Amino acid sequence: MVINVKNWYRKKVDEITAPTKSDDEKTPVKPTVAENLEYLKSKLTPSFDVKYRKSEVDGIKFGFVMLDGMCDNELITEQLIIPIMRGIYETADGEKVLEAAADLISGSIDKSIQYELNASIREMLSGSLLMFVEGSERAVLFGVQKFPKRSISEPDSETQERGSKEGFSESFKDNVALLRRKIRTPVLKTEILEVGATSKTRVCIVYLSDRVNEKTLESVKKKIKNASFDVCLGSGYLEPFLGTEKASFFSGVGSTERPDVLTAKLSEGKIGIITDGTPYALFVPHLFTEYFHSLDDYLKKPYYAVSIRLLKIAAFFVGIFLPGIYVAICTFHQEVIPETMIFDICLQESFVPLPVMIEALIMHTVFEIVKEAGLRMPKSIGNAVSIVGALVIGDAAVSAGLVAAPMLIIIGLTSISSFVIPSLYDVSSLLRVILIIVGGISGFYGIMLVFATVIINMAAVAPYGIPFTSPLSPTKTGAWRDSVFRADWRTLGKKRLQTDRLDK
Amino acid sequence: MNSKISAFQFYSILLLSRILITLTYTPKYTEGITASDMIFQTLFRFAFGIIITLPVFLLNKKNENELQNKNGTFPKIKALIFSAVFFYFSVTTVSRLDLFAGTVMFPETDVKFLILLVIVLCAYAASLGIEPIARSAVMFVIPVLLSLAFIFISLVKKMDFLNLTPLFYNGVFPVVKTSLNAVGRTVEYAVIAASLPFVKGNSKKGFFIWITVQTAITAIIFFFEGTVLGEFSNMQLFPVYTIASMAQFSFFRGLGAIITGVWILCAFLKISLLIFLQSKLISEAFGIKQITVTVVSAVLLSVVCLFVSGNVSRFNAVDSSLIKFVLIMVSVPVLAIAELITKRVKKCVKQ
Repeated sequence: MVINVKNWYRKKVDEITAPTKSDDEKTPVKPTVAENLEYLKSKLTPSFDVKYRKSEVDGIKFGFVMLDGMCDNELITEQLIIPIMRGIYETADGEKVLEAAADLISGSIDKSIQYELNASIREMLSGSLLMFVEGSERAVLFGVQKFPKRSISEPDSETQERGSKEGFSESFKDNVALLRRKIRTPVLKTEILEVGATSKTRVCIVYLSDRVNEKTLESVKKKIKNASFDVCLGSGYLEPFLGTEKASFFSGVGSTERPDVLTAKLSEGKIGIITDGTPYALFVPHLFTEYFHSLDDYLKKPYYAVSIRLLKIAAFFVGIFLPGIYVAICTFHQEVIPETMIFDICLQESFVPLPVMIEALIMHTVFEIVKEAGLRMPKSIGNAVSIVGALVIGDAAVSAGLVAAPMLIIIGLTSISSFVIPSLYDVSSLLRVILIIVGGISGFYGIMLVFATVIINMAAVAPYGIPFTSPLSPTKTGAWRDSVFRADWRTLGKKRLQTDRLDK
Repeated sequence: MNSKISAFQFYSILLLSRILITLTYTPKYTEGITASDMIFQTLFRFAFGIIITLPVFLLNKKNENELQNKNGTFPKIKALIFSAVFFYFSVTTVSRLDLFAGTVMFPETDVKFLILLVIVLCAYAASLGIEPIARSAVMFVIPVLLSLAFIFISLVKKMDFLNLTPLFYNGVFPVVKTSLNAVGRTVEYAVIAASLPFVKGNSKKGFFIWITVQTAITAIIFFFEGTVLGEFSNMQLFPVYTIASMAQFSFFRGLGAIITGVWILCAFLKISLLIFLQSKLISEAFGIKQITVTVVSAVLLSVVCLFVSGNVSRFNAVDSSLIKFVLIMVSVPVLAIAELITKRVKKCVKQ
C-alpha cells in the first residue's frame, strides 16, 4: 500500500518534471576560426548580446567572441585588440601565433587556454573574451569581466556597533578579495567548484590549510559535487546538501553576510562556502552556541559581552516559550501566578470571546502577516503597515474586546525577542506555534515534551562528526571560555579554538 | 552499539532516570515506614546497589560480556531477557505518568492522547540513537538539579524538624524491605548491565559517583518531604509533587508545575533510552532492522499502556514490586554470575 502510494506520487512528479542533467558533451576546438564561430552560433543563436568578430593580421585569421554588457569594452580595445592587431607574428603556425598573441597581453589580465568548445562557451558566458586563431586547436580566454554589480555595503542582517561596515556582495571575486584582505597568509586556500546543471554557478570553498580537517574538507567537496539541482540562485540551495541528513529544525550549517565573521570562523578550522551571486557565505561545522555570538562581543569588554550573550539566550527562550507558557498558565496552571496578577489577567481575558490558545494563534498569525507585508512592501509603504499593525490591529482590537491586553504584550514581547537573533527567526516562529497549540491542549506537560523533543532533535545534528550542541554537550569545558562566556583577549588570544576537537 | 558514549553522558541519563523514580514514588512501596526511616533507607539502597552490580563489573572487567558477541544462543537469550525487563519498566514508567496526568494534572480529561504522544515522541528519540539521548541528558542535568534546588530552597520556611520521628520507629525489617523494594524498582542497574560494554571512559568510577550522587539527592528529597509533610506523606499519592505544590518563592507559588516539567523531561529520556535499548539489543541479536523493532516496541507499549490507562487497579497489578524485584535480580546479578560461572567451567574443561 505504502509502496503504491509512493509509486503513484513519483509518477505524478515525473509527469510535470524533467531530470536535472548537465550538458557534458565535449567538442574539441576546431582548427579553423569559421568552424569554431559556426559552432558557437549554432549553440548560442538567437542571443543578441553575443558579439562575434573576425579580424585578419598579416594573413592570419583571428576570431573573437564576447558577451556585450559583461565585458569591459575599453579594456578589450586598449589592452587586447590593439596589441594583438599591432603584433608582428613571424610564423603562420596557428599554435605559435596563439601563444605569441597571448603573450602580448598585459599580465594583469587573466588568461586561460581551452581545448574544448562547450567549456569555452561557459567561460565566455561568465564575461571572458574568447579568442580563436586560424590553425590552432586551442582557444584563449581573457578575463575582462565588467558587469553591473552592487558595491560593497553594510550588511543588513548583521549590523554591528563597532565592527567593520563591509559586507559580502553578489560578486564572487569581490567576496574572496574581502577575505584575502583580512587574512594575508598563503594558507588561505580557495577552490572553485561548479553547481547547477543549467546555471553552472561557481562555488568557492575557502579554508585555512594549516588547520582545516581534511576529512571534513573532502566531505564538503563531495557533498557540493553531489548536490543536484538545475539552477543555483543562492547559498540556501546548498544548505540542505551540506547540513545534516536527519530531519531537524537545525541544519548544522552557518551563514553570514560579513567577511570578518567568516574570517573568524576560518581561523577556527571551519570551511567557508561562497556562492556566486549571493551575499551570504556558508560555513561548516556550525554550533548552536554560535547563534548567540556576534563580532561586537569581541570588541567590547568581556563582562558586557557575556551579559549580552545571556540576554540573547533569554530572548531566544522568551521568543519561543512565552506565548505557549502564557496559554498553558491561563488554561491549566493558574496557581503559579501571584494572586494580584491572576485577577487582572482573568479580568482582561474574560472579555475576550475566544479561548486563550485560539487568541494567541490569531495574534501570532496577524503579527506574521504584518511582518511579511512590511518585509516585501516598498519601504515607504512598510512604515504605514507598521502603524496600521500597531494602532489598528493592536489598540483597536483591545478596545473592541477581541484581544486581551496581556496577550498583546506577550505577542509583542515575543516578536521583538525573536528578532534578537534573526538567523533563528524561522525556527523560533515555528516552535512558537507548536508550543501555543500544545500549551493550550496539555499545559506544561506538552510544553516540556516538545522542549525535550526539540533538544534531542538538536542533539542529533552532527553532519561532520561535530555535534551541533557542542561544547555544551558533549561537554568540552575548555571551549566554554568562548561559548556562553567570553574570556578576555589576553586569554583568548593565546590559543585559538580548533573546531575538529569538539567531536564526541 | 557501534557508537560509544562517555561515562559522564551515560551516568547523566541514569541520574535523571533515577531522579524520576524518586519524584514519582508512591507510599504504597514504603511498607509504612516513618519519614526519618525513609531518609535512612537510602543508605541501605546504596549498599544493595553496589552489591548487586558487583558481578556485572566483574564480568565487564574480564571483557566476557556476551552482549558483545553476536553469535550463539546465549547472547540471544540475554538480549531477550533484557528487552523484556526494559519493556516492562517502560510500561510502568508510562503508566505512572498516565496516573499522574490523569489524577493530578488533568483529572477531568482523558489523557490517552497525551500518553500516545509521549510514546510516539520517545520512539522518535530512540530512533535517533544513543548519542542524541546522551547529549540531551547532559543538557538536562543542570536545569533539573537547579529546579530541584530552587523548589527545596523555597521549602525551607515550611520545614519542621519535629515532623521527624526516631530512627527505626517501626523496626529495622520494614526499612530493609523498603530499600529492597527501591532496588527492585531501579531499572538503571539493568541498563548498566546491558550497556556497560558500550560505554567509554572509567565506568566504575562513574558508577560510584552516580550511586553516591543519586543516594544523596534521594536522601535530600526524602528529608524535605519528611520535614515538611511528616507522616502526612504516607497519605499522598505523589508526596514529592505535594511538597512542591506547597512551595512558595517570592510572588511565585505552587511550584508543582516545575516538578511536572522535571518529571516529564526525565520520563522522556528514560522511556527513550529503554525503547532504544530494546530495539538495539533485539536488532543486534536477531539481525532485524532496528527501526522495525523500535516501531513494534512502541506499538506494543502503546497497546499495553492504553489498556492500563485510567484504571488504578490495573496499574497496581502491572506495577508490582515483586515482579520488578525478580526482574532486576535475574537481569543484573543472577545473569552476570551465571555468565561468569559458565565461562569458568568452559575454561576449566578446555584446560
